[in-house]
Amino acid sequence: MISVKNVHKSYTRNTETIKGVSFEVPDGVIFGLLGPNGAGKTTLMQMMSTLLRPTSGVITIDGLNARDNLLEIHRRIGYLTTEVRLDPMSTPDKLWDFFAELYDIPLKESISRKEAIFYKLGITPFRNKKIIELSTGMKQKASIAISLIHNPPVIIFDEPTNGLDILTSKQVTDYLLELKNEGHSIILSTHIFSVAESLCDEIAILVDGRIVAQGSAEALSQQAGTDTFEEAFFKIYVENHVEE
Amino acid sequence: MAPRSSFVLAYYAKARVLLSSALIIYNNKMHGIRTIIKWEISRVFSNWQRAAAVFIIPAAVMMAALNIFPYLINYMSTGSVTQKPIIVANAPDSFLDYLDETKGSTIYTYVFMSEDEFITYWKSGDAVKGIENGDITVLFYKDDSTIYIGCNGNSALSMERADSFRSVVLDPYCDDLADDSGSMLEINTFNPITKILDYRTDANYQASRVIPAMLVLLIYYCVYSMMSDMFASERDRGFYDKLLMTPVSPKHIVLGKIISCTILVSGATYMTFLFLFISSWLNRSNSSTSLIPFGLMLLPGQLLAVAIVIPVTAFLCATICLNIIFSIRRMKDVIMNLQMPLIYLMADLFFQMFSGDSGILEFLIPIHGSIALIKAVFRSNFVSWQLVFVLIASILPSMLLLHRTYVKEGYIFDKRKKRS
Ligand SMILES: Nc1ncnc2c1ncn2[C@@H]1O[C@H](COP(=O)(O)OP(=O)(O)O)[C@@H](O)[C@H]1O
Ligand SMILES: [Mg+2]
Repeated sequence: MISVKNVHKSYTRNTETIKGVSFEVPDGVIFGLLGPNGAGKTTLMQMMSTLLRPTSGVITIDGLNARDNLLEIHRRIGYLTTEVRLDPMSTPDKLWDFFAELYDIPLKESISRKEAIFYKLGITPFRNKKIIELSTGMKQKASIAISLIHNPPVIIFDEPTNGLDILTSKQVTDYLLELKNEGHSIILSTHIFSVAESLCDEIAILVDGRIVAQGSAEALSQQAGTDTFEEAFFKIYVENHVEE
Repeated sequence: MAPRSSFVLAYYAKARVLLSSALIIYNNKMHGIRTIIKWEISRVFSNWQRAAAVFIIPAAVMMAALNIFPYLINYMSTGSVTQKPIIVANAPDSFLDYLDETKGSTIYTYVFMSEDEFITYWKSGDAVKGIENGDITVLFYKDDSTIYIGCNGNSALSMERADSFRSVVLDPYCDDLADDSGSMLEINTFNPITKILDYRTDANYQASRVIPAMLVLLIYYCVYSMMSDMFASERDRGFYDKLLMTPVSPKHIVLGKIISCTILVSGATYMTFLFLFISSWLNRSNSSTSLIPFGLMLLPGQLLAVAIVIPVTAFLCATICLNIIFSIRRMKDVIMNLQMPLIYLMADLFFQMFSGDSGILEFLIPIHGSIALIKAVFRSNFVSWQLVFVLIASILPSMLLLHRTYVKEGYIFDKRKKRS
């Protein structure tokens, strides 16, 4: 369970990137942050994963303040960055073992989890290939596997299907649904509304650092008075975006 | 009494906070550090090109530099790349005989002149010009049986060459004459051990001019390239974020990386050192300007001192790099600033080339002290307090730098790169 309360973030003194965002994500729910490029999705997710400190506001994960309980929170969240570039000379297998050691996961458990996840995401065929020899999709899958190494209750994925083909995308989204059914709370960001529509139980539309609408895809369409979610998204965006 | 003891306690607590960055190694959470060290080291050895880049290239660069430098110095001070012959005027037969029978004839090349030839040469002014350009001129003056050596007193190299000519050729020749035993060489005075020690004294002294500073320059260069890979490019790639997301404390991640860097660089430097000695013992053309002359040799105590100074210096360099990396945002600026200390070290290298023995205070200057110590070792003036000074001058600043980085970047060791 994650709660974000009135969070602000300024990178520079006179511009505010996140302008007061609040939401809650209960367990067993996929929460989508939908917004165009530059809306502040990555910034928000970095703050939730403790990599960035909010200028003001409170973020708690399972009741723990993200500011004070860094290491404990790290055990509870799995974070996937937009453009992960793993060590090019390493292999998915070696990387898994390295991170398993960092997370202090017992060897037996690590091996059985590795086999299971590698199989599910289809990593097994290239598990011993160098990262440099892998395609974008393969690399993304390896990164996803590694961010889930410690079976975290909270999953924060920044554009997990970015740059993936439809088949690989589906593999990833199916796995996310499976994790949701196991009771993980999942936050993912995307700029592709079809992903948000099909996958997320709750969608927050982020425009210029503000959540301008929130609800299920259906509820948002109704609210906007449109037939499809796609139209609803555009309508909401146009209503709220301010050209500078 | 109470307020006083609480004051002491507060002071103690403060000292402990400061020391905590130093004592972190003894923390029970060493697990993370060890994992990082294992990872970084195996990363280097997983790929032969990387391993070669770390272990062979520094040694190769050093060898190349040491073999090119003498020509450069020679050129700078004499205007010619090759070594000039020694001009010998009015040499008596006994000297010519002596040269025929001793090693002096193999190290140097000579131009012989009669007395009359030399006088014309001198009057034409060419002799003086030649000496200014690094000629060594030896004049046997029959009237008062004195030998004069002419060299350029403003050129350290010229003086050095004249000096070594004197000790290698002229002094033994005079001793020989004084013996007056009729035969030029006494077979039973040749003692291989004294001979090797003779070579050693000479070779170590020659080596002390450039090798210490080169070695430290190399240490910094290796640390710099490794640290920029370990932190700067990893931060750029986003892999560093992944490490930060693990339950290992950022302090331990950083410390683990610094320690692996220190271990790897020390290994590479030991390797270079070994190459240096091998190269010296294979260098039979014992030219007097050679920087790795034949016979380089250190005694066990001296070797130990160097072996201790190398990792300590590498660690200091690593903390300097760390501080630079974490206080600057942009990758381009980071690389620029990491190269700054190289300029300082270059300057020190040139300073060392022409300076004599180091003063006491020099051992207390971080990094420069390390150079001074290795230099003292090669000159056989090494004493243990110098090592103590250098240890203080290296460990203290590295702890302070580490602490500073920890405090400044207490939340995470990351200032996110600026995006366009
Ligand atoms: N490190 C940074 N320094 C300054 N501005 C930044 C930084 N990172 C992101 N921004 C700015 O914040 C805004 C939101 O960026 P981001 O969170 O990456 O958006 P999104 O992920 O939704 O595309 C953008 O205008 C971007 O330029
Ligand atoms: Mg983004």
